[in-house]
Amino acid sequence: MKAFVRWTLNRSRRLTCLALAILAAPPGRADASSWKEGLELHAFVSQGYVHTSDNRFMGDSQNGSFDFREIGASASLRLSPRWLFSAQLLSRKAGDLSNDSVDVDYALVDFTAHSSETWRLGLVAGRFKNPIGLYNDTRDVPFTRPSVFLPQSIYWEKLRDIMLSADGVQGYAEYYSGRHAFFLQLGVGLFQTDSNLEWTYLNMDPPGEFERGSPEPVGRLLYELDGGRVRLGLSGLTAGLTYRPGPVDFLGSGDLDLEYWVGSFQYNAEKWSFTVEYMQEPVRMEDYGLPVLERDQAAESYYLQGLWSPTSDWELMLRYDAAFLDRKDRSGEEQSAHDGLPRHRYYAKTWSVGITWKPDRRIMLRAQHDWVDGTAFLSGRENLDPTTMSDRWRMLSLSVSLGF
Amino acid sequence: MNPSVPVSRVNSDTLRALFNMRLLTWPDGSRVRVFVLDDDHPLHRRFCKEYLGVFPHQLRYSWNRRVYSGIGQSPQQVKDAQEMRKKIAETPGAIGYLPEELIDESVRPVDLE
Repeated sequence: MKAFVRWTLNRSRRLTCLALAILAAPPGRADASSWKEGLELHAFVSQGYVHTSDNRFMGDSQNGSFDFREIGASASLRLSPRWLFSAQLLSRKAGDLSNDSVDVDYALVDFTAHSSETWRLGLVAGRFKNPIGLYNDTRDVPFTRPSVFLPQSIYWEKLRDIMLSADGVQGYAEYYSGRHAFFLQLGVGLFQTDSNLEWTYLNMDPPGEFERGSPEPVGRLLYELDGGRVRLGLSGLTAGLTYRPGPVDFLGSGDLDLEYWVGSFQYNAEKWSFTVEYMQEPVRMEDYGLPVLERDQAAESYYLQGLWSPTSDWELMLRYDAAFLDRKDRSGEEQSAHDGLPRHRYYAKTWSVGITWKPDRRIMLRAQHDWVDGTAFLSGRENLDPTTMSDRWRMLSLSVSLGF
Repeated sequence: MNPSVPVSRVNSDTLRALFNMRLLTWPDGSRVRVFVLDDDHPLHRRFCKEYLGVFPHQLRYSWNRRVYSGIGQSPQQVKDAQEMRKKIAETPGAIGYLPEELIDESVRPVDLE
């Protein structure tokens, strides 16, 4: 009844390398599984410290700020191979951009309609994370990031809310063939909005606010070679928002239409990896009744990132990151002439070095140092007076993260 | 071979699908349960590289991407090979890996095509 079969490997391989076997449980036992067996729980807490030479990021960073904190807890329950329920709660303090209220990061039901060696097809409904670039869908989980902060050129802190998640439905298809794997996620949903959006696009907090329009599309196509040695992706979303003026408002009911496209490449070796991502964001703004807010341009950004892990508990990072709010005006000269802000508000070029130490799977310590030319990724919400900002500045960030 | 365990051999594509946590059922529809050792465990490293053709951190990345965006679960981690054997023996639909010398009658090796 319990047959023993060794690997049917060719003889030379068997002799030279392995004494491994794959095992399946013996039969004949009733499936005594309760729902608890399908339950998976995770939680994490991360505290950061940010010190900047000039300008504010994550609170009062010029004097050293501890206002960067992430606390999350998630649960998923697989009721059957077809049905998965999952949710994550997240409390996040990010300087003046996010208080530490508890938000539903995602809450969804995942229905796997078909699953085989070559295909997996299914549908997700609820609040799902937007699959943008390589990092957006797990951006607030410190253990999934390469550094204290993700490259700001693509994972803008000040644009986080609209990028974060959508309330709607998402279909997925995965195809596997030998060394090749394709992942397609296509969703439609309502994105999150909050007043950071007004600060980002209007550079102020006017009486009214942006309203979500109809559900918008978001998607990603990802190709993987050899289980992720090479990763190649294209992802994007479009969003159309309307500014709803307040009772007394100097702004009209303007439109904000944007697209967000990211191309991604990653190569993973055993001890190092190399990542490049490129982003283009066409933005059109009109009908605010204020000429300085009329815009029709495309932001452009990219970063190159190398990671090296000499041992499994240490990792070093080197990154160059560049962002331009108008790809045709990289110096910011024309935009500055148009709306009067300093030129450095329209670009940012950043060199970053970082180090990560994971003495244990549950503990992670990080340090990162950035040398920045430009202030494009800093929010006006944290830097109310642009004339006091410096174009060349440095930032040291530290974080301690615990999780299971 | 007891008919209630439907698999006596797997090919490397299936093996990858199982340990990627994307093939969730055996051919008879029963649930797959995957057990692994820690990423740094020599046996796990060897299994990943020689049988799945990936590095442990790549496998971890693919689990994390699903787990932390809510669209998947990770395998159950055990602390050593003895616990692996015990868990596989007592869990229906379980799959894992062991050094040959630890294989006893409580578990059943399968063929790799």
